[in-house]
Amino acid sequence: MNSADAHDEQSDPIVFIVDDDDAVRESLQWLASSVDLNVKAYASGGDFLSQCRPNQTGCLVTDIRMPGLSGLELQDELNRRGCDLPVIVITGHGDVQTAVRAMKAGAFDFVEKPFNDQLLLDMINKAVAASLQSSREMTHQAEAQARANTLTPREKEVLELISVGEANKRIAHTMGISEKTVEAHRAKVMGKMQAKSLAELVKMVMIIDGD
Amino acid sequence: MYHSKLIRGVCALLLFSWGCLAAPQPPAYAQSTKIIEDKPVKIGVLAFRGIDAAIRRWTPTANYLGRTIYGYKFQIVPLSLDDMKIAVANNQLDFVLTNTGNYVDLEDRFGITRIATLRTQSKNKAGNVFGAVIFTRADRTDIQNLKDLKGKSFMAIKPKGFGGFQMAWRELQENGIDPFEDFSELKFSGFPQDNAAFAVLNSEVDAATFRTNTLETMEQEGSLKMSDFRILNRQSYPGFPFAVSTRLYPEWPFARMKETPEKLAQDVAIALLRMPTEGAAAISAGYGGWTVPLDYQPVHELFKVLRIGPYEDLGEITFTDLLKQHGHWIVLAVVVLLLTVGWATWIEVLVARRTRELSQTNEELERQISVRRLAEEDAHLRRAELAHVHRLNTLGEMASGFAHEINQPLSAISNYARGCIRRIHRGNSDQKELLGALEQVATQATRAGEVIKRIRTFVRKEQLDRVTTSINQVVLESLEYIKSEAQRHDITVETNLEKDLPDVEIDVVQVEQVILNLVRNALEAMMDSPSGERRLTVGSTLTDKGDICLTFTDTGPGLPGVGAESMFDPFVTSKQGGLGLGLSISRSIVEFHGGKLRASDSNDAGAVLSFTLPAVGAIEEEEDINEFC
Repeated sequence: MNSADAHDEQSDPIVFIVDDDDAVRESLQWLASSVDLNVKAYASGGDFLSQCRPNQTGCLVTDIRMPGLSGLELQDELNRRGCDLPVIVITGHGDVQTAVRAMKAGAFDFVEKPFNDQLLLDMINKAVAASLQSSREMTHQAEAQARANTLTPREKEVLELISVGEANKRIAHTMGISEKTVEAHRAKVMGKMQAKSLAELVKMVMIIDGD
Repeated sequence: MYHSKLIRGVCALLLFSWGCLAAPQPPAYAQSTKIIEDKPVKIGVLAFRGIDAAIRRWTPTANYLGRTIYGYKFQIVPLSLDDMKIAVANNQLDFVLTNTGNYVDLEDRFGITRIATLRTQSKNKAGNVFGAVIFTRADRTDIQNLKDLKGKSFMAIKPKGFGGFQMAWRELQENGIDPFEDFSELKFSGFPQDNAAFAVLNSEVDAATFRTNTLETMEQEGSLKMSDFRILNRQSYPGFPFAVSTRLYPEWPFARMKETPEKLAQDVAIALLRMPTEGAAAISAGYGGWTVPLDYQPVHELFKVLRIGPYEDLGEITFTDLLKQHGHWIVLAVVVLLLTVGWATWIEVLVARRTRELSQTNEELERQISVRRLAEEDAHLRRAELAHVHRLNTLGEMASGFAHEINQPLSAISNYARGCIRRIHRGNSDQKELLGALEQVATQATRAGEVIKRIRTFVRKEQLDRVTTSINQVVLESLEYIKSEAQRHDITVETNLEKDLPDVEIDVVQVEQVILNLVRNALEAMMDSPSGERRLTVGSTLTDKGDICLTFTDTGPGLPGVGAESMFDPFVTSKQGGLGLGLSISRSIVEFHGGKLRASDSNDAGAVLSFTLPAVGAIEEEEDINEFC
């Protein structure tokens, strides 16, 4: 399931569980590990934050009501640190209001206690997949950006005009150079960006621009 | 020496009563009123350190009374022990302020009645009881207890000193020692008392006694060290901070005469009880204000045991002794006695007539009492019903908390079970591992069961059921109910419970209800406080009066605007959706238990709610005065 072009340092996805209630936390760990997920459990949000690496993949399953950092506060802290680990919030029965607040603050999903195990495990799998997907995109973007950085200012100008769909003739006119020179630049850009086609080149520009 | 005074006292009394009986007596009330209109109200004070000292010490108290009570002037009349007796006998005083021993004597002889008891001030701690300490040098290994004092030399302050001799005398006598027979020498140091301590230190005498707090004061002044002395027959009383060898006795009382008008006596009592501790009156006399009058029965017992004071005529004196020493007085007394007997016989006839009328009134009273008792029982039942309804209501409000508490173990059980099923289906199950999980399932099921059991106990009981128990235990168990609710709202609940408190006799469920109600009010008040500053402190202490006092101090916004008094009324509430019954029911439960509930703003932010409960075996209060810990 790992992407072929993933970064070297990227580790396996981990399901993090944060719950102050020993029994609930340990039982969640027992349940999640029964389906071959890597699980790490913490008794408080603080403990988890001190252990979590910024580019970690996986997901966080947290109880919403805890002494110290609450589930919502933990989610805010992750956002503040730029960590985009998907968060699944466990709420008490009928606590719809807090669930809504969690979703608005960017939670991946929420589950009401007591919950159906299959529902939770599906949710975890989805969250992990989303985390990996997002991590892959991050990797692509980083690579495209690295290639773009090798372009000269002139070549960058040409790339920009190509990506908005200008023909060579127009580009030559706009830049005040000959069409031949444009073609030479274009070949250089395709080469440096390792693009096999115009379509691939445009896609890379879009990734860099963050679409 | 005692005898001659006794006889003179008896004769004076008999003459006086004869005079009262023989001459037509104006009604007591009219006479007293006249005194007050023309002359100032007279307070006789015992001048044990001279007239000037007594006037200096007590005039500010008289001035305070004059300022506080409209239309009266008060005057201090300094008197010696003997003059005091004469002045009281001749009805020359309106109030008396004298030492504990003298008071009991006068109470017994002339029917004077205490209206307040002095609180002494020492090291910021006010007390209204005192005792005596009996001590020897710490290195006297041969003297370990009172019995060892036989044949030794002993020093007290004055033969008639209550704390300075008589208290110790009683304890000595109980240990088989007659201070006048069994000591090699019995000396009296007189004032200042400090001399007795130095006499022991310098080995001039083997042991000595004086009133409590003298040693501590001397140590504070740097004139000696407590560790140089051994306290004999050491006693300890809850809340009493000083070394003590004897029983404790109440401090000086402020007493009214039989004839003092009721209204004036009441006004004076209230003014004394309200006297500020740090006011000029209290400071100049060096005391800590006044408290409700204590029970002076222990003093009577002491006198009875020692056959002194009002009981000295119980001593073994032969008739011939008396005749020899006081023949002329006795003849006079006999004549008076005969006349009195004649008078008394006639009175007897009147009494018989009156008794018939009284017994009729009595029957009527008894009937009224039984009607009233029925009404009270009915009220108890209603209170129990109302309290039960309120408990159900409280339970409803706490439902989400309980649901959470039950959901936790249920979730855990479900997770463990599902994890087991998945492992078994996949065939990768390790039996030992599964066993561990199943044990967890069982543990969590028990946990859920305990929550349910607790809810049932809380709701079930309706009947009043008083048991003797430790209040701290009740507090800790009540806090269990709200532990998870407090935790989830990030509220720290601290306890500051005094150890070794006396037990209370209470209906545990009802008192738990009060505690829970106060705690939940505090939690709700703190919901809007910044996280990290939500703290509730539950404390227990023993008050000066021997009551248990529980305090609930929060860091919320303080008391609501509705006012500290009206917040206890039914249907007054500052909570949205609240019924406003909680505090009203809490107060009625507390008052039913003989305590008081009140609210105030705390010194820092927040509110303090506190209530008292009488300790088992505490002295019954005679008057219902609002005084709190």
